[in-house]
Amino acid sequence: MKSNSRFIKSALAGVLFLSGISCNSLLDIDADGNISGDIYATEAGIQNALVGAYYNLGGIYDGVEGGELLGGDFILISTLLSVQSIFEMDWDDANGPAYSNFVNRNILATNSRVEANWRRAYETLNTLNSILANIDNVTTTSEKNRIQGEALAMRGILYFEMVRLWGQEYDAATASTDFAIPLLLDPVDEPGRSPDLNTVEEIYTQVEADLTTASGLLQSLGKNGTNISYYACQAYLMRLAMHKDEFDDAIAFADIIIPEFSLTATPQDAFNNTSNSTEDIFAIQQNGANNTGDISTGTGLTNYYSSLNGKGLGAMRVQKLFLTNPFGDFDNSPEYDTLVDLRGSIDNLANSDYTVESVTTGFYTNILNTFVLSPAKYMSSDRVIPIVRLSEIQLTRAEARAFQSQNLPPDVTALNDYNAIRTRAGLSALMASDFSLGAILYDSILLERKREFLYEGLLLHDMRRRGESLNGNPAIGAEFLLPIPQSELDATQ
Amino acid sequence: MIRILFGTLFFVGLVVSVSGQQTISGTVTDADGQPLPSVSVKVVGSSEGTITDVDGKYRISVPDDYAILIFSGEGLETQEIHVNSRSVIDVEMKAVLVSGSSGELTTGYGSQSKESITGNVASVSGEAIRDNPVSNLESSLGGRTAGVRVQAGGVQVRGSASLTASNQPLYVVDGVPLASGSQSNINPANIKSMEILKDASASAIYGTRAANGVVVITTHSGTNGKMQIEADYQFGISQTPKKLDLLTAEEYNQQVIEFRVRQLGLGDFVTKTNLLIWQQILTSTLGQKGTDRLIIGNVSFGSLGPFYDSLQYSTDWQDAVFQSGISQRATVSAQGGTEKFGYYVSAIYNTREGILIGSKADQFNGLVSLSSQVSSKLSAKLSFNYIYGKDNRLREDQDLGAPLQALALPPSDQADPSNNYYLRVSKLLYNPLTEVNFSDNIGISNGMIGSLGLTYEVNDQLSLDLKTGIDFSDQRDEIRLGPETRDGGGTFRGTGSGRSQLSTGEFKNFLINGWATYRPSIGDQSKLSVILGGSYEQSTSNFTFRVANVNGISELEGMDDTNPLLQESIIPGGANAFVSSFARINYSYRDRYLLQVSGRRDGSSKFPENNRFGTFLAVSGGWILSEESFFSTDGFIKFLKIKASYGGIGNTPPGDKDYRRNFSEIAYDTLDGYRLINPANFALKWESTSQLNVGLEYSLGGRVSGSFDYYKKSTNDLLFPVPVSPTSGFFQVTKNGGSMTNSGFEIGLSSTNMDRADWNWTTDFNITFSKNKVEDLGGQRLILGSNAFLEGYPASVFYLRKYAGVDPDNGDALYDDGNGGTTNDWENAPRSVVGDPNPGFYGGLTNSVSYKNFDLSFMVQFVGDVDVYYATGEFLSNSGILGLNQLASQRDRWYEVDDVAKYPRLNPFQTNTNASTRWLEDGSFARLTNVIFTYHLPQDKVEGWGLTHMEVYIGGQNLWTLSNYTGYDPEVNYIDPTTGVLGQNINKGIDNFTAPQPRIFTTGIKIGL
Repeated sequence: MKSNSRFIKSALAGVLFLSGISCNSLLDIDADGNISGDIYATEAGIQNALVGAYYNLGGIYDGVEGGELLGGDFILISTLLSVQSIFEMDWDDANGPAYSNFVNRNILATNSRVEANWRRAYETLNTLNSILANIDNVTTTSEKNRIQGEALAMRGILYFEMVRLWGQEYDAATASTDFAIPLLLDPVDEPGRSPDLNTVEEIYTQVEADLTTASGLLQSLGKNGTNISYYACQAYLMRLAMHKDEFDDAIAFADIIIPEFSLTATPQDAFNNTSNSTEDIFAIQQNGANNTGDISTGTGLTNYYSSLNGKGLGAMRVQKLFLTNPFGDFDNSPEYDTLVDLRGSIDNLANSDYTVESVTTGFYTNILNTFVLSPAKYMSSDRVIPIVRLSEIQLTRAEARAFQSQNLPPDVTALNDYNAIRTRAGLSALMASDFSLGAILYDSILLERKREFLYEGLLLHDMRRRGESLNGNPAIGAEFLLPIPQSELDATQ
Repeated sequence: MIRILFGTLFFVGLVVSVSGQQTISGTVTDADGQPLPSVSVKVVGSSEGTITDVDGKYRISVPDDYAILIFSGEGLETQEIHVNSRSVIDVEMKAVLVSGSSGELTTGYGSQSKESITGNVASVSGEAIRDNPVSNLESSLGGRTAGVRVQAGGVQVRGSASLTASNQPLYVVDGVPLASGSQSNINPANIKSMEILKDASASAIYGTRAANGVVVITTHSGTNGKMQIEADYQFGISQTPKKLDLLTAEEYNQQVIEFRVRQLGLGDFVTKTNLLIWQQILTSTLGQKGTDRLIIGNVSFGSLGPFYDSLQYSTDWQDAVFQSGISQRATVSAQGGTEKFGYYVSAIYNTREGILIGSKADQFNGLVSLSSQVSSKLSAKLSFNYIYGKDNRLREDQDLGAPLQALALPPSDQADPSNNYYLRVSKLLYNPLTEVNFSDNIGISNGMIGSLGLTYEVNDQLSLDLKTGIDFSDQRDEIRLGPETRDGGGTFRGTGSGRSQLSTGEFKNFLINGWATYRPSIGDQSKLSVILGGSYEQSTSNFTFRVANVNGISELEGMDDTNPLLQESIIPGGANAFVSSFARINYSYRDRYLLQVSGRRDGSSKFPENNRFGTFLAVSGGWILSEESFFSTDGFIKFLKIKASYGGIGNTPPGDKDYRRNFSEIAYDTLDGYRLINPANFALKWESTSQLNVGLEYSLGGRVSGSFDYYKKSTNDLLFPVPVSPTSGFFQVTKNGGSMTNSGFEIGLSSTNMDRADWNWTTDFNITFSKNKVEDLGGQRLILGSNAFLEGYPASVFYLRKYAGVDPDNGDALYDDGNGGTTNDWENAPRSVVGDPNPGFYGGLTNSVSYKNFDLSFMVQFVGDVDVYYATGEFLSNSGILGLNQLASQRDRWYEVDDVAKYPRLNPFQTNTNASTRWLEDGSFARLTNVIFTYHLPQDKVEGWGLTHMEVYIGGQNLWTLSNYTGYDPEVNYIDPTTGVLGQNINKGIDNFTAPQPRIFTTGIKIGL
């Protein structure tokens, strides 16, 4: 009996001891390859976070979402908002139902693209803000400058693109009272209530500051591979200056960029490349494994623009009459001479065997709807998406200079830039004598912009900054603006 | 009795002489006088024990005349018999007929006799479910015991207690809690018994994940005796229990005409008779050219569009997608052993075709179980289950890809087998026959559950147990879409390169636990047992996923990382661990006052360091009134016990590290990067459930026994997604917050109605009344599809617009406008709570009748006070929406002014299905199922053939259902695979082209050697 009780006592003590041990160490278990906690504490982690920011900026397909922000919707949504009517372009509502709101210029707060782009943009901004808040953890000075520069530049670019879509057009008189979107410069640690909106003025000021600082940090890196570069910063500062009607500044920015790049041989060479062309100042990279999606995922520019077999649904159904505008019906027709202007050339023989290389023209028969055309930009999801091209810089410089010399003889630099784009497109160069007044050159440059940048998402912003109208409706009107998404409005409570 | 026990021990301890020993012998037989071999005979208080031989005879030594012998055997009622100076004792043993009426129940860490349990434990014997041809183990539990409900998503014990975490009970197989989900593939023939622990005191001993109840599965283990071999073969045919009434080809063509006519704005000319006339005109003028074949108003038609004239076929799409599925099962098992060593080995192979084309499953189960009395103090049990399943699944797609969606295809069209089954007329219309014939969707799972248990009896008061177990599972999902299918092909069918996808998952779960059981003697009136122990459990998982536009899984596997076509996702693996210590004290006084206290301290790696540990206590007590002196033992009431229990259990979040910021690996261009998956939440803690159970158990007159139980379960700190401002980068964040209650009444009744020499008839009945309410969601509402979690209502209530009939003037659908009137504006009509998919009551009634060598058993399962939303009707029963084929009932839609119609006008411009209570139906039903009629061949004949027994049987599953439901089967639950665990929990009672449970006829033969 005695030995029994001693045995029992020690057994009990043993069990109690075991259960009383701080077993925390046994619970410190982690799966291999799990990344968690604070990645911003190390240089490698911050670099990885920056790549994550590019991934979101490009709207890369992640299994659920794809085609947001620069890699898709910022181009597609602004294109659709500037479509005049179904006689210009007939959007396939059955295959692109989420975008019908934009074509009809009646955008609900519950629109799924508005929600998706808003969330993904702020996801990117949170990442950038976290990088900037922890930038001192990058110990290598050259890397620190580069990462900080790219992060600031990306933040500036993103806020600029967002305020152009969600906010009122910049008007110096009202910009400080026009509320647009929240301007967040610190990472959100505690997701919760909706922040207050900031004004167009505050956002433009912050964008300028970010891009200017970034330019300083990135200047020594030149073109910086495929990442955001000094020149991309200058390009966005130029765009911003144009919205503020600060033409001298815009010209100065353009002067810095233009000497460093060269136009591709033909207009088609500027698109559908597997890597950046000589003309790309900034482009979203795509390849077979990482892209914004296509017909197999139902997302991305390729899915909607392209009608090539296995690539897209060809939801964008361009009407031929719009390209040539024989009856003068359209406000924004490029008025191509389709037999001469390479950008307006049409391949009527396109069929289901066509690949990306088969298309050498500006448009081809929409393979799924042979009565309409598909544009030859963004034909495949494994090709680069140009965001800023040299031709935009040149034509912007030309526009700015021509605007300033409307009552004077045509500006020579403007004329040269204008001719560079024309001749590249197969048209003949024009001479100063062809324009009696600078104003006529200015109008011609505006038309050339429509020809060069058709369906690249620039037209909406051009119309708004110049105060133009579409179908009699001013482009700065409310129906051209994106609403604050419903989930954001719901979170104000 | 205890006095005798101690007295005997003392006596044995004092008297050393062997001459005091006596030998008892005798024969053990069953109720029919047949000898029972392998019955265990033991002397109480001694290590003496033996087993009866093949003739049922035994010999055993007992110390004196006061000894007590215990006779026990599998499936038999244990008996204790006093020697009382006899030297020959013959015993007749009865089979356990009334389920769970006696014997030991496994209650986690040891077993208790049913009489002494103060918690709520239900028991299902393996025999009862053995021959039911069910597709997975969970289905076999339906209707068998109160409080347990089976649905497509799994088993629910006493309602759902969580919003975002799983609501499945914890499955424990041979002591190993499963993390892999392998229990679905365990064949019922391998199961000896299943205990379902429903209340806090029974499941507190399991701690985490026991908030939804615990299903303890014990597989067969060896019994002593000569080797017995059992073999059986079962053959079955499955069919659809019902066919829906759809439009005929002619009626569909009339609908096509109406569609076109209304599209052109000529709706005013439409009447039911005109449609028939126009159809006849078009049919009789087929092939004619000319522009005035048909004149409506002042519009003349040469044709109704290029395709209408070709719609001349007649296809029964239900016949095209349903098949008669054949299933077969073959089982072989061998068991035997000596006193010191027993074994049980079995192999089961099962192949089953579903009732829809393309659905088939194969299963193989192997079981090896060894038990050994290594020495007088040490015993060991080793069991090893191997489970293999290969499942040819159906597409879960929402386009017309899943086979049942073929019902929406035009009956006047036809699939062309020589052209990839594309429809002859509408070639581009996505159809399931093409999808099924040119794609594969195979899930292969290989699992292994093994456990080793050692028990060391230090002395008769203290024993030590050590158990280790593993649960490994390897799952592989292969999806191949050929170029003929829509997602595998290019923009044009037949071109393109196909698409293949492979995802694999590997789960490893390892556990070790040890406990000491101490039964001190504390006086002769009381019994005390104390269990104290600890356990450690670790689970890891890892996953791969790859997809590429190729047409073959082997080709996909062969692609290496540099191949530009290959898209590979890096999915983070999982790892989590539990460390616990637990204790349970059972005390009984005079065999009539019972008390149990159990507690467990669990630590989980899923919580931040400051919140890792949770303590869960449960207390239960019971009073066996029938043992009281004021109860006469010869009275009518043989057994009466009241019991109550109260305790707390915890539940963990689904993710391993939800409290930290987690990142996924992504790539942009050629660089690798990180992307945030979830923000940190260091306030994350356990969901805690507290449960009260009050019950009464009785046994009357030796024939009737039953129980009443009332339970109330409250869950607090529910994890659910709280909507946040998307400027954080997230639409919602998971936080602890809500609370929910489940309460109900469970009634069980078993009665032996007839127990004569040749006749025997028993009935088992159970019914559960249950209520569920979401108490608090912090002011949030969670709405997903047609269901919602709203404060003050049951979980997953139907939240829809109210349909108010048809406007006779224009055929518009009308909805309640919330102000007492009606409106035809669906968008702005308000939604309200309109129904509840949680049943008000459910249960089952099982009758078993036997006459001589014949047995018949059948169950009526019923569910009442429940609503089902017939989501299929949004497409199939919606006035010809989108030009789809319709149920025949849609003939009664509105055609012309002043029609008083049940269904609205066909609207060719409508693309939104406009969900409303139009498709909300009563889902109550009663179902006749689990019917088995067995003939036991006469013993003498069978022995002449060298067998120990032989049965043949025929049976049926889901033979007949009584219900008012429009769809195939009111007992369905569609789960959208894209919505995750929250979606599975919130979407209940939805029938979205869901296949019915099959009607199965089986026949089989069983032999023993």
